[in-house]
Amino acid sequence: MSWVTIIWSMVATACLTLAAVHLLVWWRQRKAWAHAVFAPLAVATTVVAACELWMMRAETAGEFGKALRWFHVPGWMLVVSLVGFVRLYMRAGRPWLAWAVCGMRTLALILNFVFTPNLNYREITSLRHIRFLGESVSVVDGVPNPWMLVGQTSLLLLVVFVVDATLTVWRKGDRRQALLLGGTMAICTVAGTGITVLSLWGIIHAPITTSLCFLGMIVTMGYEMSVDVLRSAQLSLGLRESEERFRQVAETAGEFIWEVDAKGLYTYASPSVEKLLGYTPKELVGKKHFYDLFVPSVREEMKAAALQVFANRQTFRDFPNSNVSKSGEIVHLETSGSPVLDPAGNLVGYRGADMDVTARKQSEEELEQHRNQLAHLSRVSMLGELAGSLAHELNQPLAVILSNAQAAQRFLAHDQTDINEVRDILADIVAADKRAGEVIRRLRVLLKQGEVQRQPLDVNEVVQEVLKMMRNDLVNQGVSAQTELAPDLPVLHADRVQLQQVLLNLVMNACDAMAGAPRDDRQLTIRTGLAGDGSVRISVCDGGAGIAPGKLEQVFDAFYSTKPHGMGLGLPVCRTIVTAHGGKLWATNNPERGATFHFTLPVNGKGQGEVARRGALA
Amino acid sequence: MPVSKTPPLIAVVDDEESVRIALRRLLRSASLDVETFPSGTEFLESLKTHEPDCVILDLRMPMIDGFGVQARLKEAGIRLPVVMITGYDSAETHERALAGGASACLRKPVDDQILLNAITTAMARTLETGAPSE
Repeated sequence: MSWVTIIWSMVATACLTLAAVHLLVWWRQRKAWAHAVFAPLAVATTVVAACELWMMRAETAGEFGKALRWFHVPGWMLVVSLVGFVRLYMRAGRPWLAWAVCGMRTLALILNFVFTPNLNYREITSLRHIRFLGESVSVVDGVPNPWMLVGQTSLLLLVVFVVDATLTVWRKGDRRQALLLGGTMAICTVAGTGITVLSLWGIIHAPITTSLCFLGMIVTMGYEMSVDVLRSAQLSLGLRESEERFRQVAETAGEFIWEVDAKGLYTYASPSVEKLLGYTPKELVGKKHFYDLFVPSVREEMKAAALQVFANRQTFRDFPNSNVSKSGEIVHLETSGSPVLDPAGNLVGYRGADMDVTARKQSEEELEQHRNQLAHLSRVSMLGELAGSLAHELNQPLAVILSNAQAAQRFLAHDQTDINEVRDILADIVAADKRAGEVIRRLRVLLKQGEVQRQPLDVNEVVQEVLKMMRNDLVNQGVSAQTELAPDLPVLHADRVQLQQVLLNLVMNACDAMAGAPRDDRQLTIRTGLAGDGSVRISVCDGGAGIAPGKLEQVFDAFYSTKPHGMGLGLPVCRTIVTAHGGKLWATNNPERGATFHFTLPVNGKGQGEVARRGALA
Repeated sequence: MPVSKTPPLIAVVDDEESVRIALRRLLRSASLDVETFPSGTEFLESLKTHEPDCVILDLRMPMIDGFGVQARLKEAGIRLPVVMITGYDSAETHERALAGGASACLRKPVDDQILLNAITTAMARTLETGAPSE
């Protein structure tokens, strides 16, 4: 065996093996096009090596010429796949240069088959044997073909293309790849083509050994790509571990962990969903949108709200939503989620978790119910205290009606009928009757134990209404009432009856507090205005003895009362009402005399128990 | 019953206009003369010029209430027949009114016959008890 045969066979085998390996990699990862391009590059080098060996072993000038002619086929393949590799793997190189290199090389290949014996020689004059690596190999002398410049221009362009691509990679910051890959490619291309060009022009007398140079390049490339393959293998191992970790967490967590696509269709559902909603993950994934489970009455509204969040790619926390389980029960969930984006920033879907808050919601609703019952009871007992005042309110119009009617009867009986007088009498009766009806309506509203109805209302109007109801009591107790109502207050969302109840309570307390005060001091002032935090503040100010400094908070305790017959429930109930509306109730002492009770109500009306309808839970 | 030719003059003191108008009509229908006052103060003021034959006093009024007016009358030594009317009263207020010199304390709404009888009785009683002082 000679060295030449050993080395060239090894080059060919090595390149073929690398080609096979990377073809396999590409087979497994169809998107890894760099591997697909690397395979023909290595195959081409193998064939180049074979053709070189053929030339070195050529017996005649004709055989040499034939071998050189076929040498151009793998040569073309090598150049084209190298250009492809640079574009696909290094993601660099100017496209127009790439096209120029490939075009020129293809032209050279065509010309190679047009001319005889080949592109490089017009005529091969003689075949000689020279010593190379300790043995005799064939080289030729002949008349160079000037068209050979086409092929050599393509090689020059290839060098320019590779160097340019390397500089681009360097500038992008990947200096290692630029140095190792770009540098090797540039040196190998220059050396490989340089030796060939020089020997073809007869400047040096040596056999064509391009494949040796390209082997170096292919090994470097192969190494680079193997490192990549190894790294991605490690990444996929890490990914599998983290997937496993996620799966375990998802399966053991009590919360329902989910993923949906950009349209809201489930792409993943953790097994715990079955406990929460009765559906198995299989029944949801790919089949249901998250909004398909919302209760029908609010489905469209909630779907729109959720999709708005999707459109803005917002992360959301504790979004309350009511769902219907597979068996038809209402399940209250609180959902948190964050958007999943692709590398380009497009919304792929959402990922998050749902927590079952049904039990909490139920107990909240029960609490709300109890609170309303208590408020009602306290209202009824308060009306007992107001009975005198209310009876007077009612008896007054009744007295007017009776006296007017009897006066009319008597006029008619005595034939003193003045038709105008009778007309006036009837008008007065109608007005008094309406007034009596109004009193009864107000009373009925207060006594009714209905559901809490948050409705838009004007605080100042409610204050006036309460003062009207209390008028007689105020007169009776010698209290003069004043109002300082801020105009243009925002509309509140509150339960009218409960708000009246709070005000009635505070006004009654104020009257009681002033019972022992001199008549001139019995001044009641109700103020309304905006509080600093955007809520509306209502203050009831009395001219009584005030509250002992240590007891400003104690007055809100249940069963705390300073009145001989007081139950001590008025203020605590008022406080729960105000708190349920999202506001605050507190007391202060006035600088001169008396105390002031203040309460605030938020303008947006958000408080607990927004859905306090009895029987809302099916 | 008074024997004078002119009908008796009845004063009505009530802070509510609709009540004053209704009572005026009723009393006029019984051929009585009526004058009305929206407050106790104005009524007491009017006594400086003339005295009615009977006064119908509302118990609950701002400033001076029915009891207040009764007390002022007593202080001034004026013996007028008083019929008290009230929108809502307890046994206690009823007794207090009678103790203060009212000849009747009626609850609104008050029937015409009862009111007229009470006025008649009040005037008769005052005539009897008050005759020696005149």
